[in-house]
Amino acid sequence: MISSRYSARRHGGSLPVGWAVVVAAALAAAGGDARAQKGGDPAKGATPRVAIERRGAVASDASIRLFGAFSTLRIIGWDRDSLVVSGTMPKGWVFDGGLASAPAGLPRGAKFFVEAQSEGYTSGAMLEIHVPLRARVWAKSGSADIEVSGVTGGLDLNIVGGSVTVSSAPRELNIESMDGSVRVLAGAAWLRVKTATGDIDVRGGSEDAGLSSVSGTVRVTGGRYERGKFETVTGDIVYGGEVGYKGSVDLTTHSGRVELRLPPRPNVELDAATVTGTIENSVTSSRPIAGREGRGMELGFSSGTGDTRVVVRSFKGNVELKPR
Amino acid sequence: MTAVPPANDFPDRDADAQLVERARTGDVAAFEHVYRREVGRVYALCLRMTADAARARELTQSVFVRAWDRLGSFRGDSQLSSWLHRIAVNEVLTEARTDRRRRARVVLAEDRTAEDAGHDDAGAREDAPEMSGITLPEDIETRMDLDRAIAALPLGARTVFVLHDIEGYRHEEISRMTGSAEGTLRAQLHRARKLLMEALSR
Amino acid sequence: MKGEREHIAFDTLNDYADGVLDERSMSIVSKHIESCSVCAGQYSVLRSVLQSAAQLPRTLAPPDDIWAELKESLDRRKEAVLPVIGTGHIVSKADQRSPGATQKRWQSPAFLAVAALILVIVSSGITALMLRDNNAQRLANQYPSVRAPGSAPVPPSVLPVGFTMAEGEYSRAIGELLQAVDAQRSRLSPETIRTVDRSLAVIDSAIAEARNALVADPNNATLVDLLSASYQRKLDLLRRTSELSSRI
Repeated sequence: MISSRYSARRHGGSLPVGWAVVVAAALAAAGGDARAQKGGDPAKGATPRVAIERRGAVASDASIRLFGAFSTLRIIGWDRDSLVVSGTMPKGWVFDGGLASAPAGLPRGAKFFVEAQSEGYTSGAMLEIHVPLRARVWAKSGSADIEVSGVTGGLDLNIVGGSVTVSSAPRELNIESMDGSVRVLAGAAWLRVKTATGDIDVRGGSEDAGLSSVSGTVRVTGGRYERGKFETVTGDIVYGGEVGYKGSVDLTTHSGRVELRLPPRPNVELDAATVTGTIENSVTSSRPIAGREGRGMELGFSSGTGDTRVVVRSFKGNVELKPR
Repeated sequence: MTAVPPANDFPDRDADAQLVERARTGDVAAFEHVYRREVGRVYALCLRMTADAARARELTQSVFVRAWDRLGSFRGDSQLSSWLHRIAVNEVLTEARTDRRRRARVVLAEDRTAEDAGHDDAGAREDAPEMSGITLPEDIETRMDLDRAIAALPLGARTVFVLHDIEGYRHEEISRMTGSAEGTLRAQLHRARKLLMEALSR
Repeated sequence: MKGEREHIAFDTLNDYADGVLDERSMSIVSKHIESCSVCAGQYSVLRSVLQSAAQLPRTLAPPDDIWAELKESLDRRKEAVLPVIGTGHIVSKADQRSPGATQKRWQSPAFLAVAALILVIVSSGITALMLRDNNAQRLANQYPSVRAPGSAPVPPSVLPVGFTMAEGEYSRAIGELLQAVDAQRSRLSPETIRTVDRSLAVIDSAIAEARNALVADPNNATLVDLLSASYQRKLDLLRRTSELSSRI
């Protein structure tokens, strides 16, 4: 359970300066993951909702955690050393949490949770949280739509279903989802995205990117990936990132289709191999050859300066090099 | 390098088929017979294409291990030695392509110019007047000098020269094996020959 | 070109030497060579190189006899079988290379790790623990390498040499994850369970395919990479599933 130092009730009903709580008392523990699924609430019609609002000053690089039954979450980075959580949730639910104690200076952490009154609800809490630009935000929910803008610190987002869209360029970005789709629009210095079936769409480049999905599509369009590892089991992989710089990109799939979009006369060193899949090259004049045992194909060439190394490995997925 | 005469200059297909059949059942002695007969040719190919005795030795072993593993796929529609030779060519080319540690580059794509630029000129071009000063050295036919000169060739040029001018593969076969266009291979071959001519006339 | 004689282009001279020019061109070049000392000299040098190359010995003896080492590899290949989980007995041991020999890709730690994980899939108990009985039977029917609970032992498969006891560590890691996931099942929604089961089945199918291909082609580095990647996906998915219902 939440540490007592984060509980508003610890203060005997009164709160630290700057706080306002508009939330009812505690209810039963939440299921934690995807029990908060979108679905019919069997017992009720339109559920009345209550407003949530909390504010407080925090350090510019504070660590903020948000967990529970929220259906939508907007995380907005702003140029203030303060935190504001606002939104609504079904009446009877619990929103609790608070700031870490800070013997000196501003609090360096904050933790909040939303607990549903029961399983199976139409919509959960709808939250918006403003955080300092360089804050590190950790958020976890079942099925939720999360949007992030303005945050340049760190983000760690964990959903089961729904979607995640990040339009700022944080230093570190880690997203885990099962079915939920993920869109990263401005890249991240360090980037990790993992899904089971959710599609992954990344733009904007990264110094160190790892994208993996079991059966979702991994699409990388635009940006420079100094170290990129993009993997699926059955999902397709589309790579249209930059080439021509010192970098290394690995594309690995068991049976997904791999599409490599390259400019004319690309500065790449390519090493592609399949066990039984085909390879087609519409970009350079190099032709693939039969692979081992006469099955599958291999294609290797160095074009231009060969600065960017692209390695493609596929069991039976077909590989296509196409002009951008 | 010591030349090794093959144990049997004219292996016949029936004998090959029997050897393979026995080897398939796990008869290592039968496979040794194949090894003794073919190792010289396999090693020569590996050595000339890699220009590295240690790698050639390792590759030679890989070739025979792979051949052992793949005995089941030998159909007898080609000679055993040809089948083994193709395995050897494939192993050498694959190793050159995928060895990340050495970052070996197969410089066969016609749009690759950087490595070419590192050498005296960009391949064989229409430059006949430059060759006018070349005279035949007395020992041009010394095998050791030629082997040494071949070893000094750039990788792509060496690959095509060994496969075409020494091993006798046709351009279309080499194109299939390396994935390079025949035009590229022709240019690489001419370049290799020009470099050898210059090296041997010094 | 006044006062300057044209010479045969080097490319053309090569084609002439290879006999691939058309009849008319062959005749033109031939006549030119007869009357031009420069081109004649060049052609002579080129021919010498080609003749010398053609006369190079086609066979060369390796500096030492590698048969003994090769035979050892072949003998081990004949004997290498998969151990059955639970016996703790490894039939083959890691190939001991001679000092200075370059480690082959299939002896690398990554490959051994993959090899260890291969055993996990073959083991009967692990997969059955994750899936319910009917799913396990379905998987066993679909992928003969996977045992359903109570079924007959899988015949040993021949895989590359190089397995070590490290495989035990990997099977333990996966077993722990599977237990953790099993403990979470009651806290997961039906939709989540379906997603996870479906994804695991997809991954297991890929693993089985790659594994079978590796048995047929043990030296295939591409297969090692692919199998390793699929196993990593499985470990990732199991870890994430086990953490799904945890709080902050």
